[in-house]
Amino acid sequence: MAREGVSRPAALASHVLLILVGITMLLPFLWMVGTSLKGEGEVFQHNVIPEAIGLGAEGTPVRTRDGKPVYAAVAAAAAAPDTPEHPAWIRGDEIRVHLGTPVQQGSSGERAAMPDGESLSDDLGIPAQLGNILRDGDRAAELGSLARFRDPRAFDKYAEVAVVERGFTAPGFDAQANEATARAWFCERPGRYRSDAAWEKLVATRFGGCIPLMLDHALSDEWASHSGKAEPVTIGGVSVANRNPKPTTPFYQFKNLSWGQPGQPVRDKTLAAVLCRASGEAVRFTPAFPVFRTEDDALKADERSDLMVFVGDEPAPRTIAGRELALTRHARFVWSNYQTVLTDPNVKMTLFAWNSLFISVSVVLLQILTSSLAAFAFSRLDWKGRDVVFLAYLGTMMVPAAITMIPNYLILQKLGWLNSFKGLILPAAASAYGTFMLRQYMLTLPKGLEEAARIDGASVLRVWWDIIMPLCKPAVITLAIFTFGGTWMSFTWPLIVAPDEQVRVLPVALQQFSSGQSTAYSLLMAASLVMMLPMLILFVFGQKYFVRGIQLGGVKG
Amino acid sequence: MADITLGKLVKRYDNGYTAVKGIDLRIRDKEFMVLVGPSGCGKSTTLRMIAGLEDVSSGEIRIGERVVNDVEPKDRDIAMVFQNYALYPHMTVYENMAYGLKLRRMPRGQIDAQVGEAAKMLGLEAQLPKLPKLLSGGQRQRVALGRAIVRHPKVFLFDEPLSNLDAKLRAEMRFELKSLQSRLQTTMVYVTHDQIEAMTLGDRITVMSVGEIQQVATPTTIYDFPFNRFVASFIGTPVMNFLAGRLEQAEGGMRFAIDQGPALRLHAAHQESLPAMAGMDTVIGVRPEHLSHGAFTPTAQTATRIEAEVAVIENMGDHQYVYLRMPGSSEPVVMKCNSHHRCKPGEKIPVNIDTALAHVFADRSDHARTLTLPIGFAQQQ
Repeated sequence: MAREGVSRPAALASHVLLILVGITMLLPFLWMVGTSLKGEGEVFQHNVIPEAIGLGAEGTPVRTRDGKPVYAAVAAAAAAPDTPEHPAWIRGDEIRVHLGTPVQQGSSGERAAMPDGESLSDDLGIPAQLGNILRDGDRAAELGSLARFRDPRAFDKYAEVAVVERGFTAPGFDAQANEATARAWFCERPGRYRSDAAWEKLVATRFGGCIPLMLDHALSDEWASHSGKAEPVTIGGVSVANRNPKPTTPFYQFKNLSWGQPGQPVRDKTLAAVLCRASGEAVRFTPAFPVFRTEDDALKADERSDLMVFVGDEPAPRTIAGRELALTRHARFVWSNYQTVLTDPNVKMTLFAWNSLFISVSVVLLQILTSSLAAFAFSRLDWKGRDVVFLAYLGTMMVPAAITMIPNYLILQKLGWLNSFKGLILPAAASAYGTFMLRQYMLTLPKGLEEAARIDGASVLRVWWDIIMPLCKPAVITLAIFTFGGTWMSFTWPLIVAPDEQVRVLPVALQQFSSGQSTAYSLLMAASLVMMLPMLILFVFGQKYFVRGIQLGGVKG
Repeated sequence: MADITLGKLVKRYDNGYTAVKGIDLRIRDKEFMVLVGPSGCGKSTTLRMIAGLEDVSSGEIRIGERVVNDVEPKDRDIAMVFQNYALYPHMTVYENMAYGLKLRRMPRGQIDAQVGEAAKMLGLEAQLPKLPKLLSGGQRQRVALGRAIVRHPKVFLFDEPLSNLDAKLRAEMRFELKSLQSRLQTTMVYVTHDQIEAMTLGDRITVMSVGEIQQVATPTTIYDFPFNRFVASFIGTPVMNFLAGRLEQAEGGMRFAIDQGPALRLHAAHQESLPAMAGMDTVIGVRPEHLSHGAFTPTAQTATRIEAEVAVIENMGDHQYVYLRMPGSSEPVVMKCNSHHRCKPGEKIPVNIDTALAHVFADRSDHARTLTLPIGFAQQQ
């Protein structure tokens, strides 16, 4: 039944509108949940449900942008005998990918070294470790082979990944014919190597001076504009002979291809770019980052790599014997994000959670105490100038917090309360809003109760504690919930007055997932959700108090 | 001793309104004193000043020998029962009653005993563990009473305690209050606007109006000898009939000539002061029960028979109220008579007006002094 005065279509339309608006409001939250379970490489993909690319029949086949299926095959050299009883390759199996020099075929955990024995280290100066086992399944690293030889500690600290976002075939690149051009693969420069110095260092340390041509966005645009021309083009100061006047096939992107290390949960969300050439043709799959490639690391390659990728309608590889498997996408939830956030000693979430809890609970208790006493004085006691003082007190609510922030900071500095719990708790111990809300509630209590109590022999404080407070319980709970939420989630003030680790609170601590140039979004979202959890629980169980709080105190500013 | 003395008691509010205008009153020990008056007359304010809930603007309040103007309510040894009960909603009946004792740090055993005793007196034993919201209005009022009596105070104050109850319960509680008083033997001050409560409960009644005391006397005295027209009109149901007219000297005594109506022969017991007022415009007050149906009752020596037209009849069972239209009176005049004295609306009937207990007032104002009082009556008050 449509309500009186509202026609049925109008009611329907408003409902639809409200539902749409509701969904819009919910989307960011869903994005948070989804991202918190994604690998680092797929954060910016549009899929809400985290997924991985794997080998095997299960899942949705991977297609290139122009709709061609992608296949992978394990090269004959690595493939086990393929019989129906014992398939050569099953999900979860480890397969080896030859990544260049014999040194790098060593087992995971070995130091990566140059052929001449010199140790490699990453750009942080931490010795690179060799990990060359690709895994499928949830831990999976299927195609990629940007070997992420990082010290796990460094990873935990920054959780950054050198991500190759796109790969190109250079014009005229012919893998079979000219191995040397392989070094000139076009790759987009990973986000964190925007600065030239960092990039040069990376090139020097990681690639042993063997420079792959990296394109940043501007260069790739330039490349796009030059492609299809017969003239040599100069890209990034490197002259590339453009022997192929035809426009090259659009590059293909394969994201969220992950790298893993045996025996350890996969944390590294490395993305490899896959270089593909013209359609239908089997293309060498090789590391997009020619990591540790050396001069003699010729791409003769059928024997160099176990894993090959083919693009096109025809899955059969022409030159490689072995087992073919479709590349498929399947859901993969990276629960380890949560594990990292909660248990990793470098993240220290528990310390910050305790800090937050201690501060929030203290502020709630103190605010209830001060607000209820003030509200009691403003509503139940008669004294000269009471209402004027109350209005002045209320007026402080009209001053934006941003204005008082600097003076407050200076006061705390003078008191020497910066970076202390005192400094976080005491300035928040009294609130005009709480006083106002409790006063409004106390005004509704009959005067007779208080008079009866006074005649019964209660002092003013007794009346407050024995009579008024128990009757104000709903308002006090509402205030507690609002205050807890406000304190638990406050960011700016704690960031300014207490950045030290010993007193750092959760919202401030979330910053550690974001460094100057990159952000570990999946960890950040996992940590954010962990932080939101108490509020979500409070909201679910205390909905009526939220509503009451808005009724009692107007809209909280 | 718990007599209460109010001396020149004034309550003036910050906004300049004077609620109590300097009253003097002595409430005797163990007396049931009722303060009665229309709303806004200052009776509740007076009670609240006695309780200590309102500050005294000037004058003094003594309880016993002690001036209590600046004594906290809790130290006055009083208990108060409120109109809306004022039970603590979050405490059980037991806790409500025990709260005052607990605050006095009475040992637990004794609290139990005293609460038990009061609960028994009021028939509340079964309700002790309940919360007030589960009780009926009458039970709540009883709890409020119980909360007052557990403490054995010297003085009980009641602020319109029965006005939230329905008529039947109110009658029941009146009886209970009365018997409670005889059992407890304490001073009780009772504020009401209901003159029936005042008449039935009070040892003495204080009638108040516009912040001043109009009369203090026993219920019978108030009824028979109202000090002024206000008191006469306030006490008694239906209200006394007031007829405007003039005093005339006639042969054999005074007459009261109703404006544009007949003259009544005056036979009041105390009309010594009347001759001096002859010729003045005054008002006569006759209670409904002093009118009677002339067709069924003989005209007494002290009565005058007149003609009147029946307007409305209210039958009360054993008696009836007949509203009469009389020449010279714009208001209908009420006659209270036996319900078997048949008459019907529109009928013209003979009416006897007995003036033996009638009163003549000094002028036509609302607070006009009564002329027909015993000599020296005012001084006795």
